[in-house]
Amino acid sequence: MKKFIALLLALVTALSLVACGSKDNGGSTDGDTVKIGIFEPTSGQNGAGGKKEILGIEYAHSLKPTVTIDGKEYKVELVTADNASDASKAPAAAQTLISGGVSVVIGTYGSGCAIAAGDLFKSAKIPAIGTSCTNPNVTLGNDYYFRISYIDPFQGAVMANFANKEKGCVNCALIIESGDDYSAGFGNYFQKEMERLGGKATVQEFQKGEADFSTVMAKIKSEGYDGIFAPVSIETAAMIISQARDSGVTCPIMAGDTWDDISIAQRTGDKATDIYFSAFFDAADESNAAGKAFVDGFTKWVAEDSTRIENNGGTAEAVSSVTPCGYDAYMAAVNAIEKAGSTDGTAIRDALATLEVKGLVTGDLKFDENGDAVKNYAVIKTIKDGQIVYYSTYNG
Amino acid sequence: MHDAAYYIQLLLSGVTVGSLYALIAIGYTMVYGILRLINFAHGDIFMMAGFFMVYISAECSLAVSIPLVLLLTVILGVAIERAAYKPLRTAPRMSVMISAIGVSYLLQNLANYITGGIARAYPDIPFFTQVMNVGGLSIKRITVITPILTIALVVVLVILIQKTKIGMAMRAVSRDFETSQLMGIKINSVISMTFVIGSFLAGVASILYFSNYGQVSPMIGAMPGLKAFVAAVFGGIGSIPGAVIGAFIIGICESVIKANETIAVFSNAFTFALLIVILLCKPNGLFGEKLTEKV
Amino acid sequence: MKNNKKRNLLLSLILAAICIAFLLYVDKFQHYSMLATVLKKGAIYSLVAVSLNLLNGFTGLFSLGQAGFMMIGAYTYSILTIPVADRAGVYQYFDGGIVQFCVPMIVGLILAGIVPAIFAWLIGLPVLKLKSDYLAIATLGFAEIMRAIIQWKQVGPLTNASNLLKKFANFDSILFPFIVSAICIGFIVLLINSTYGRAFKAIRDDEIAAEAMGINLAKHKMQAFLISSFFAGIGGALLAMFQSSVQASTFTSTMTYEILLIVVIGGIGSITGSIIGSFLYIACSEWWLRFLDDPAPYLHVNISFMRPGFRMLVFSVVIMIVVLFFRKGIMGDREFSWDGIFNFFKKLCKKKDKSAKEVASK
Repeated sequence: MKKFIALLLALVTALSLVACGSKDNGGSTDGDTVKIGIFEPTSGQNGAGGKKEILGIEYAHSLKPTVTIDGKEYKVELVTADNASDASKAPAAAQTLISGGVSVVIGTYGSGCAIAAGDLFKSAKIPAIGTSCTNPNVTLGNDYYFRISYIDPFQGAVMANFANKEKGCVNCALIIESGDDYSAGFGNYFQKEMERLGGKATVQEFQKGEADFSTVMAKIKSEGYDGIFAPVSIETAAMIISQARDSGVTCPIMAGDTWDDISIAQRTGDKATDIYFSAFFDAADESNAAGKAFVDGFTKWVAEDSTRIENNGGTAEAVSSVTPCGYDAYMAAVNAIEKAGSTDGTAIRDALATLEVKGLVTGDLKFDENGDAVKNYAVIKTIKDGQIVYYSTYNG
Repeated sequence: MHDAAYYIQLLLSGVTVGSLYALIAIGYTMVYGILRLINFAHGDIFMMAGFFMVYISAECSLAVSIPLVLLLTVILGVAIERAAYKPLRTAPRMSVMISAIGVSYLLQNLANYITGGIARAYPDIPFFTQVMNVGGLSIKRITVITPILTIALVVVLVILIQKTKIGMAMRAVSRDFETSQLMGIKINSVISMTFVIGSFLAGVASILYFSNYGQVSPMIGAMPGLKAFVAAVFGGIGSIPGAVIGAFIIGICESVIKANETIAVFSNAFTFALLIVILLCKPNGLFGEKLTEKV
Repeated sequence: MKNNKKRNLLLSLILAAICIAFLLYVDKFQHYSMLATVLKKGAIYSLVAVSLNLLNGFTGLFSLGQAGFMMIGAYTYSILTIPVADRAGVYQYFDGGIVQFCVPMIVGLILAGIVPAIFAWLIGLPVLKLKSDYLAIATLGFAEIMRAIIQWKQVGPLTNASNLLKKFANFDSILFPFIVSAICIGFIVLLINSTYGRAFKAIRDDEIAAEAMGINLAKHKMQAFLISSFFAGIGGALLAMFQSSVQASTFTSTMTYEILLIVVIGGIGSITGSIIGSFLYIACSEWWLRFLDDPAPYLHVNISFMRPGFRMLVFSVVIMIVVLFFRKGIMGDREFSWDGIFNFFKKLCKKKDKSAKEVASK
C-alpha cells in the first residue's frame, strides 16, 4: 500500500515538474493578434510540397497581414506545425496548434495527415481549411474541415479518362503506397472509372520507405501493361520514374496533384519522358487574370529571399499548383474571420460554410454541404526538358 | 505466363540487393564476433555515408569525393566506437546495446536536422548508372558490378583475416577476449581495425546502393541495417562467408516476394520470420561455430 | 519508526489530493493547452515504460517488441469499439468489415490487454529460450511481422489493412488515462513486491543461481513477458484514444527505442524512475524544447542554427550523455519514498553544517 501511494506521489512530482513550465495562452486573441495555424509537412516524403504550400500562405500573409473585426485591426500571426508527412506524427502536430490557441488551421498537403488530425480539430472546435488534401474522407462527416482543392473522385475520373481516351491505356498498373490514404483512395477512384470505361487497372502495393522498384518494373514489363498510374509522394515519384525507364518500361506514367513539383523533374533528368499528371492550376494560363497577377507577384516575392527560393525548389520561376491552394486557403480564412466578426472557432466555421469569395487564384470559391470547394476544372501537365509544362485542360 | 527475361531480372535485382546487404552484414558480423554487440548504428553509418557523398560531390569531382567519402565513413565508424562503446567496455551488454541504439537515434536526428528531413538526390555516377541492353534485358551496369565487387572484396577480406597478423589477432580476440589480451594483443587497435573494415564496406555499399536508387533520406539506413544483421545471424555470426551467403539468400527471397502482389506486404517481415526460424532450429546459423556459454 | 509511517501516509494523502485537484483544474480550465497534452501523453507513456521496465529492468529480459504489443492492443481496442453505424465509413474499402458489433469501452480496454498477452504467449514459447541480444532482435522482428500481418490486404476486413482506424470510443477527461495508468502501475508494483517479483529479480541477477534455488526459469520468464505485454497492450489502447486514430505504420521500432530510452533515463529497475522519465521525456520533446525549432524565438534575433530538427538533435545528444555518463539514470534502481527525501535533506543540511563549521574553525 505504501508503495502504491508512493507511486501516486511520483506522479505528482512529475506533474509539478510539468507545471513549472510557462502556461500557454488558451484564448485565440492575444492582445491584438489573431493566430492562424499552418498544418503542413516541412519534412518527410512530402516535405518539398508542404514547403511550397507554406510559401503560398506566407505570400498571402504578406499581402494581407491584418484582419478587421468590429472595426478594430488585428495582426495575423502564423503558427507552423510540421506533421512530417506522416499520419502517425500528425496528431501531435495538430495538438501543438490547438494548444497554441489558433483560431483557424490551414492545411495540409497529403490526405493521410488531414484525416488523422481531422477529429482533433473537430473536437477542439477549430475549423480547418484543407489545401491539397484530395481524399473525400477529409471533409466527409467532419463539419469543421473545409477544402480548397478538387477531390479524388473527380481527379480519379479525369485521369482515368485521360489515360483511356487520350493515351489509349486499357491495362494499367496501379502503383500504390500501402497505408497512405491519398494513394489508396485516389487509386481506388481511378480503378473504378477505368473499369467503367472498359479498361483494367491492377494494383501493385509497396511499403512505406521502399526504394527498390526494379522487381515491380520487371513485372510490369513482363506482363505487358500499357500504362502506369502512380498516385504517390514526391520522393517516391522520382524513384518510380527513373527505375521504370532504366528497366526499359516505356509506357506513359500518370499521377495526380502531388507530382506538380519541380524537384521530380530535377531528379529524374532526361528519364522523365511521357509523364502526365493532373494539377489545380496552370501558371501559364493567360485567361485567368487573378492567376496571372498571383504568378507575377509571387515570383517577385520569392526572388527577394534566398530561403524562399530554396523552399520553392531552388528557383523563383516555377509555381507549383499547390502554392495557389495555400494562398487561396489563407484568403478564405481571413475572409471568414472578418465575416464572422470573431475569432471563435464555431463562428468562423459558420462563416466558412456560407462563404463566397470571387476572383481567387484557383477560381471563385464556395463550399458545398460537405465543405468541399465546388471545382470542376483540372489541368493536365507534363514534364518536358526538365520543366513542368501545360498539356491540356479538363472542364467537367 | 512470364518470359525468361522476367525471371532473370528478378534474380538480378535479388542478387544486387543481396550483395549490398552482404557488404553491410560483414560490418555487423565482425563487430558482433569481437565485442558481442549488435551495432544498431551500423545502418545509420551507411546512411551517413550517403549524405557525405551528396554534400562532398557538390563541391568536388567524383574522383576526389569517392575516396574522401570512404575516408570520412571510416573516421565516423571509429569515432563512434571510441566515443560510445569504448567507455562501456566493462558495463553489462545491455548498456552497450542501449548506447548503440542511442547513437543510431542521434545519427538519424542529425541527418534530419542537416537535410531538413527531405530526401536528397544522390549524385549521378555515369559509369554505374548506364543502362545496357542485353538480349531484351535492360540492365544497369551497377547491377552487374555490385555482386562482382562484393565477392572480390569478400575474398580480399577473408585472405586478410586468414593470412595477416592483424587478422590473426582478430580471430584470437573473437575467440577469447581476455586471454588474447593477456597474450599481448592490443585489444583496442584490433577493435578499431574491425570498425575500420566494417565502416569502409558500409561506405562502399552506400555508394553502390544510393547510385542505384538515386536518393538518400535520413531514415533509409534502418531497414537495410536490420536486414543485414539478420543475414549475419542467418549465416552464423562471426562467419564472413556465412554472412555473404545469408545476404544473397535474403536478397533473392525478398525480390521474389515483392513480385507476388498478394504477399508483397511481407517483404520486410519475411526476413524476421527467417531469423526466428533459424534461431530456433540452428541457433548458431548456417556456418557459425558452436559457442559454449561460460558460467 | 511508527511516527514515520503515519507521517508518510499523511504526506502521501495530501500530495495525492493536490495531484487530483491539479488535474481537475487542468481538465476544466486548460483542456486544450499544451500542458494537458503533455500530461495525457505522459501518463500513457508511463504505463508503457513501466511495462517495459518490468521486462528489461526487473526480469533482465531484453525485449524490443513493446511497440508490437502496443499495436496489437491499440488495434484490438479500436476494432471492437467502433460504433456499428460508423463502420461502413471506416472500412470503406472492405464493405464495412466483418466485425459487426461494438463492445463497451471498459471491455475493449481489458481485451486490449488480453489479446497481446495471447500473442506474447505464442511468441514467447519459442523466443524466450534465446539469449539476451538474440531475444532483443527476435522480439523486434516479431513486432515487424505483426505489423506486416495487420497491413495485409487479406485480413483487411478485420484490421482495415494499412488504412486508418478511427471513430472508436474515446475519453474526454484528462483524468481517464491517469486513472487507468495508476491502476495498472499499481498492479505492477504489487507484483514486483510479491514473491513473483523477487523471483524475477533473482533471474535478472543470476539465471543459473536462480535456477539452482528452485525458480522455474521458463515459467517466470513467460509470466513477466505476458504481464508486460498485457499492460503494453492497454497502453497502446490509451495511445490510440489519445491520437483518436490508429495506423499500423505508427508502431515502428523507433517507438520501441523511444520507450527504451525513457526507461534508461528514468533508471533501469525503478518504477518511479520510469514515470518521471516519461513525463520529462514527453514534456521536453513536445513542449519545453520546442523553442529550439524556431529560428527566431526571442525578440526576432535570428539564430540560424536553430531550425526544425534542432530540438531532436539536442535531445538525442542529451540522451547519449545520460547513456554514457549517467548510466543509472535519474533514479538508478531506487524508488521514491518520503524517508528517502527526508534523509536526502538531512544529509544536505549536515553537509552545510559541516562546511559552515569548517569555515568557522578556520
